[in-house]
Amino acid sequence: MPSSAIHLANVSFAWPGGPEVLRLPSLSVGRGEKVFLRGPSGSGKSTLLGLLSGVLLPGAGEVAVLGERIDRMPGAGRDKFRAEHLGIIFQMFNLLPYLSLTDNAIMPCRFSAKRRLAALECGGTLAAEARRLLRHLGLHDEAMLKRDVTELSVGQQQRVAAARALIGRPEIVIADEPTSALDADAQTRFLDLLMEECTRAGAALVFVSHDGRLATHFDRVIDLAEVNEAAQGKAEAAS
Amino acid sequence: MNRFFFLTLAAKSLLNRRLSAALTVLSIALAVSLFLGVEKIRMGAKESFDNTISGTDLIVGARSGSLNLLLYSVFRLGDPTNNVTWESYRAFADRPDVAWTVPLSLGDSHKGYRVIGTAASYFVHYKYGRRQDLTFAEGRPFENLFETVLGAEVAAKLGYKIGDEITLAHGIGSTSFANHDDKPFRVVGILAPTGTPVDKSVHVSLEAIEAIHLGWQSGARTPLAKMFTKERVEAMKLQPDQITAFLVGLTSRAAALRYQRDVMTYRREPLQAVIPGVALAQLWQVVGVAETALTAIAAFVVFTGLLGMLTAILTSLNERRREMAILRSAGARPWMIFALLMSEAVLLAFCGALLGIAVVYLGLAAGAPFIEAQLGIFVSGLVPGLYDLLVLGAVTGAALVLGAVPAFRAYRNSLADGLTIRL
Repeated sequence: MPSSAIHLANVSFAWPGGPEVLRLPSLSVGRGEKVFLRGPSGSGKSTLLGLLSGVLLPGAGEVAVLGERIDRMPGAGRDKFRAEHLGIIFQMFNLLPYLSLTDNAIMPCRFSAKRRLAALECGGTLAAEARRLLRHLGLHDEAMLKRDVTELSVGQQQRVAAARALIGRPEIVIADEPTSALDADAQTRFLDLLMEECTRAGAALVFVSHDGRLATHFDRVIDLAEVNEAAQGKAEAAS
Repeated sequence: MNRFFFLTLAAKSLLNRRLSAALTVLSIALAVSLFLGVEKIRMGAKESFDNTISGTDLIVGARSGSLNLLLYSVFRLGDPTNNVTWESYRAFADRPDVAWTVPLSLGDSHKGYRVIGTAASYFVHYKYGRRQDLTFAEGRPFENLFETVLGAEVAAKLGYKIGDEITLAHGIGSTSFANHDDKPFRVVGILAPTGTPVDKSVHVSLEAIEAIHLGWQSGARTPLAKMFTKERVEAMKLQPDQITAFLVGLTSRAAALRYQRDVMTYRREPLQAVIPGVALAQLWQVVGVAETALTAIAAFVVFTGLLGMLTAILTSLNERRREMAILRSAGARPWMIFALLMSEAVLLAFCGALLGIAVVYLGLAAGAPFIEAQLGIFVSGLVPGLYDLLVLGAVTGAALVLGAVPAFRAYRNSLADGLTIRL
């Protein structure tokens, strides 16, 4: 029985000397599940993403990703785990300006042998696999692939970032407000393509946004402000 | 996982920031080329200095100090204290272990340039540099009494050519009231430049020195001098009764120490003999203090260049936090962030040092004729070698040490920032 993609139990987190910013009794994401994580600013969203990606360690509780307790792993182990199993898309400026579009997309394969092998299995070569993903994500134009990444529009940059997150078939894709810099049309298009590719790759998608309008596309919606007891406490104290 | 991917990243990242990277490389290159340039000139100067005179086994003069003897006989500086009698000269010149001697007689000058009374053997046996012979740019050695051969600088600065007549002054100052103007000399030869004090010398025969001083006593003309007209002197058989010093070439170099001891223990007259190489080394020790200071300054310039690099990398760190976060999100380990910045520092320093070395050798190759003619420093023989490799290694090594500072900061930042990107 495969364990869930993400399972958090009784997790709490506080910055050194600061108040508790996150307390989650339970939070699970199934394998291949697409979850919309609604989190206004201050809801502990960045902290949660830090915990999921193994950059932060919880003060208490369990963080299991793909059945592995990453909160018990050493730092290097968490780094390796992230490289192998997680694809991450940021809000904007996801690309390194000094690498070509293709090199940006295949970057995770440089840091993880597992993803490199998976990508080679899918596409034959890393570049071919990157091209395949980019094509699926709507970057058909071969001429565009040769362009400097700084010349791309924000929407195009986000597609390259999505290809990078998906290359080598990681089990989980975490997207942190990836569409907030796009207009409404582009948002929907990007989201559809991202969902489609995640489905094709069998990856779970944790899509973080404060914009509830996009929630209808997802299997499930988690409202972080509701499940985060630390934030609730704060909200009650404020009211 | 590609463990050396950070090298690719470093190179591409630097290429992307090529203007600031080029400026950093340039400043390191300038610093290194300054340092090496100073070193090369210094080595060249030392070598040229050591080669001011070559092929001579011993210099013999009146007993004073070995530096003094060297200064007045070779560098044509300072004043000879005493003379060597002709008999003593002959006694040491006629020994069976002597291959040749060159007598030198000093004390007169021409417009500030020293006059050397010598023999024709001077033009055969006086050697400089790597046993290079004196060559004539124009004309020939002196043959008749009132003929002179000028060093290259004397002819060039004073504008003399073959056939010109010059008069000698008594004493060594540039202005002298006691002139030998009744007995002018005709220029018959001009030597090619050597970069040694020979260029600054006016050469006449020993007999000529004798001739112009006939009727002189204690450095002043007596009424008797009028009797010795030029025509009458030319008809006379002149025999010098003393000289200032003489250069000795032995049939075997191994005999030098015995010869030197014999000179030192000569009973008729207090004489001394110096081995040029030994005396030159002593003199260089005196000059060497300035040399050390110059090297120290040049080393500091290199250090400044590296500090500039450190500043450039440190100031770029903040704007590159996003880059580090992106790399980390794609799976880069923190140590790779450290290695990335280290390799940037090393790459910059290595390229800078390499460029600096190239600049020095190109500069030396292009400037060698000028440097050799103007300064008398021989630099064309200098080829890239172990020393340059050491400089390359030292600069790169220093960059490795200095580069650890920004690399460690970036490492710590990337641990603290994690995947969050602050705009």
